[in-house]
Amino acid sequence: MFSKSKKADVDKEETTDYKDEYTRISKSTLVQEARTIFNEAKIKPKKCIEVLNKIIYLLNQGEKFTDNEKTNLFFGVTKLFLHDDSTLRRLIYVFIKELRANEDEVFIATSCLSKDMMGENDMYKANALRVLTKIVDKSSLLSIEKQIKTSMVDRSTHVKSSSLVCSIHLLSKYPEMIKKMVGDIQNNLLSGNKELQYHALLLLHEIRKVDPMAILKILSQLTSSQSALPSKLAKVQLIRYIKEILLHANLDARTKGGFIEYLNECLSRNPEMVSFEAAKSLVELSEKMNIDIDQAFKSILDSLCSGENVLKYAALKVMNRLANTNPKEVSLASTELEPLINDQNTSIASMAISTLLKVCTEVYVQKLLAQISHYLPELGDDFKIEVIHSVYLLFLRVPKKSTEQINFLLKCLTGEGTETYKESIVETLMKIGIEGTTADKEQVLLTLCEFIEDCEFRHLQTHIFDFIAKECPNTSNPSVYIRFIYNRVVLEKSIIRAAAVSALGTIGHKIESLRSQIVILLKNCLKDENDEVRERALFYTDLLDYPEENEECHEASSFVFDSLTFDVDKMEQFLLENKDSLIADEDNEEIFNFSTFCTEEQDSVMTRNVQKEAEEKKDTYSTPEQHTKQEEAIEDDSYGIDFSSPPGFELEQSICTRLGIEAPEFSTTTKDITSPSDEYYVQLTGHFHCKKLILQFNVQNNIEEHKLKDITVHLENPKAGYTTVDQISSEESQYPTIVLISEDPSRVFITETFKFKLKFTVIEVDEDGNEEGDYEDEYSLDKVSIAVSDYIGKQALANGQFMNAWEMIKQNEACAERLETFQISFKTLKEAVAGVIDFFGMSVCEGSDKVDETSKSHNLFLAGTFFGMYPVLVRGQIGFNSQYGCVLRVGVRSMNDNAIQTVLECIQ
Amino acid sequence: MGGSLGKKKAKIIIVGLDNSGKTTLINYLKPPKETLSEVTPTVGFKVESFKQDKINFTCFDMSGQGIYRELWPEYYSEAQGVIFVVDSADKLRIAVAKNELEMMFEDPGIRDRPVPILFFANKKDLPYALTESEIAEQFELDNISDRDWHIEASNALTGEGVTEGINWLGAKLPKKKKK
Repeated sequence: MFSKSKKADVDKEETTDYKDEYTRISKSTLVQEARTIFNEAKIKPKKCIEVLNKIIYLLNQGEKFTDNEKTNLFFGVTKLFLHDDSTLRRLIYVFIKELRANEDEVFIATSCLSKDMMGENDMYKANALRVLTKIVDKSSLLSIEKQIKTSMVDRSTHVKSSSLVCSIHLLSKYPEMIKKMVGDIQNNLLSGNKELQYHALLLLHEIRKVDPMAILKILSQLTSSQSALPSKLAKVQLIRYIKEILLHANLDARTKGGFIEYLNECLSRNPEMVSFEAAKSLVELSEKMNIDIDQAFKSILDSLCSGENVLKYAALKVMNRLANTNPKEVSLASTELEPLINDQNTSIASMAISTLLKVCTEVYVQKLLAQISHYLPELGDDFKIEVIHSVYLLFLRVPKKSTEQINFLLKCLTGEGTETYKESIVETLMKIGIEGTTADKEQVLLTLCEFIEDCEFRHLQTHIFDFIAKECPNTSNPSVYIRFIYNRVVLEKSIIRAAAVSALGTIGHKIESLRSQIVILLKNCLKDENDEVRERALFYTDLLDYPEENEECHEASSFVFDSLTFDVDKMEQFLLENKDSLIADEDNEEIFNFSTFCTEEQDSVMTRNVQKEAEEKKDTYSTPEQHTKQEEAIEDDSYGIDFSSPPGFELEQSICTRLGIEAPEFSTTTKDITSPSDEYYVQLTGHFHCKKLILQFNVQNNIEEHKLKDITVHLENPKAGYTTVDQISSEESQYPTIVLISEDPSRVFITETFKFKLKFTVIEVDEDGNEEGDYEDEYSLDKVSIAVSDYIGKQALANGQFMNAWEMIKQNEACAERLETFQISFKTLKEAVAGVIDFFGMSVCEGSDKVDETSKSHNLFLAGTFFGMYPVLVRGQIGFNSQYGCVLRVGVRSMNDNAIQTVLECIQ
Repeated sequence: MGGSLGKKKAKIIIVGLDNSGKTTLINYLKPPKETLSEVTPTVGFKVESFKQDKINFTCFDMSGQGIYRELWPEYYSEAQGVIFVVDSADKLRIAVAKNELEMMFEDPGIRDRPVPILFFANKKDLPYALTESEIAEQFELDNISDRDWHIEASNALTGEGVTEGINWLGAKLPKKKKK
């Protein structure tokens, strides 16, 4: 940092004269100029400094230099090492860091920089070290290590702090090296020097972050005496770490109490920055544990009244968060919050309103809504969505004022906005419609009807149609909405017309009294110019156009409109298999039983709706007897639907006790590492628990004259990042086992390729079974991968069910979704589809594994359970183009964001 | 540093195959408090300066490792003199060194300027080391007619021959600095 600020000083001097020049620099002339000036026989430092400044200026402006230009400049600059001008030298350092020259070139400066590091000049030393760590590669690591070590105990603070910063950067690449220096780092932390403390604390925490006990030790050491940390920044950081550990680690009550007391102490007698951070942490902690936040709350109130905008805004954000969990408390602060509504800073004003919306009393609702709609157009998207969310919370709290709220939302809806923003409004309206009274519902429906009159987002419009069709039967006068929908049929594009037709069809089915009228409307659609619209209209007319009170026909249409309760694929297969017996005996009810094709019970977390349906289904179709039949049928099923417990080896109880766990959270299927005919047949089962990877090996010896004893498993490629926690030999358990843990705590699920080695004692046995002697031996196993698919179980969905599930999972609050695009290397579309299915290891839905070779893209629907408990749904679109190759676009939805992340990370 | 006004300044470049003793040679010439106790293979290049015979030398100590040899030409054009160090005990690679030398002579940075070249037949203390005349013969130095050259047998560890060679170079440097 130092070099930069110096540079800025230089800039200031220069820019007074060259200000105009700086705005008009042309890259090509500059490169030319640099070439002549750097190559002059006698170096003129002033000229060079000027040129370097300009280049660095351009680099910071984001100007792109070609590789060729970079090489040229870089070599030119290396010649400037000849000169000993200190300003010039500092600029050279900055330049090398900023240019990011070609890796093959940049490290030729290594020796030069090392020499500067040995020198007397502290400024050279510190800066050269920073550059060196930037350009270091494995081969010169050793020399760097030495240099960092010596600079860590240098007499100059500046050199020390730069070595700390460099260590932070190097830690991610070469953790082993930095870990050796813990002692020196600790000394720096306790040195009492402001500049060093912050960096030392950061570094120490980075090093220790896998080890909560060590962190705890550091933290207690630092909190024990107030004077230990004079640096503001270090203190703020310390408070954050304390918050982390309080949130995530299991601490005993005394330590906890000590930390919280420390935080409370921080509230007073400290710089604003520190007391605010402490207050914020206490508030966040109060969401998870029972602590008294009175003092913290007061401190935040003080910040609210502060003169500084930044502090005010930050305090408001905390208040806003607190309002979600603790509205009563916040409402006490109304008097402080209200003046902020009129703050000149729009961000502060809107945040204040958003907070007040969450806590205010009925009287204020209207006033606040009026005020916020005044600010709203100027705000960013995220902020707008936050406001919409506040309105929803307001509705839950003050349902009496729903009319105003719906009106407000309507106003937002008709205003300008992006699709995500509009979508959030529409969704909020729908939620209000579903949860509110009938009057609310009617108002919402009318609002939405008005909105679709003039809506530019097709996706939203179709969504609204669906909503209206579902909800309107519960209103007092459903026929009102039909007009709105039918208007769309007349006016809109084909996609929307088709959706409108479907909506009409659904209403026709649900409301018997309107059926005949709807059939007339549908018949009008039969002349539509678009195929899809015509087909849908025809389909629904056929379905609905039956004489009144015809129960059978109504049941038929129920099959279509209510969720499908059997798996067509299975039925087809069953029919094919039993064709002959069915033909022979047409009325054989026993053979042909609908329950055979029932979709299996959905995972309970999936959605409440699905569960309800499943229960209904059980009631209607399956007596217990039939239920077992159904299960048998499914087990026999050659479609290979996997049930949640795979046929693996269960983790032995003795191992569980040894590791102090009850049962693993999840186990994979067993896979072969060697083939059954090899001398040793080895199988592997993986178990997971609390980030521990427990790998259990089953070793079967195929050599008759050998007996194996004391088999242990060893990690042959001790990859950086994995520590062997425990090894269990075959003497202690039937299966030799190895327990690994990832050193990176943020990796929740381990996916990696391992190579293992078995070590054992071979006992030679003669024909009669007498032991003849023993020796030690090793046996290297082939590489084995723990891949994403190991975490995923199959979860079959019935045909036509996928989209339903896709929408339903979304309705759950914990649901996370991600969209991502990848380039994948497959030669044909068919291969790509097969590859993707294989990769995810999930059940294929809607028969989407069948590929139309002639089309350019293919849609894939996959369903599965992640880690045995989280349902995961994947929609993939695979595009293929002989010119650009294969592109995969996936959307993943799941209740567990980690699951999604792991799945997606692995594609990368 | 900077150099006081009365003194002459010279920029030179030191090349030669890896492990021929370039950095050691410079190390011998540097003032005692700056000398390194241990010489490690140079990565890329190093800039060093030393004083000899009232001349301040600044030199590019180039790395001799194969991958860095293509760097040499980048720095030819600034050099007022060239030092070419040969490991006279490494008979196997004499031919390689000769090849590098020829490439240097073909480079416009050297070809078009009559800068003096000093050869050090280094490591003369080793048994079976070639003499300077044998090396001059191998390198066909007699064919060089467009510039001054000189070959000196040396031992960079003890400094034998080094000062003599540098003094020759100092004398051959252009009398007046170019403007």
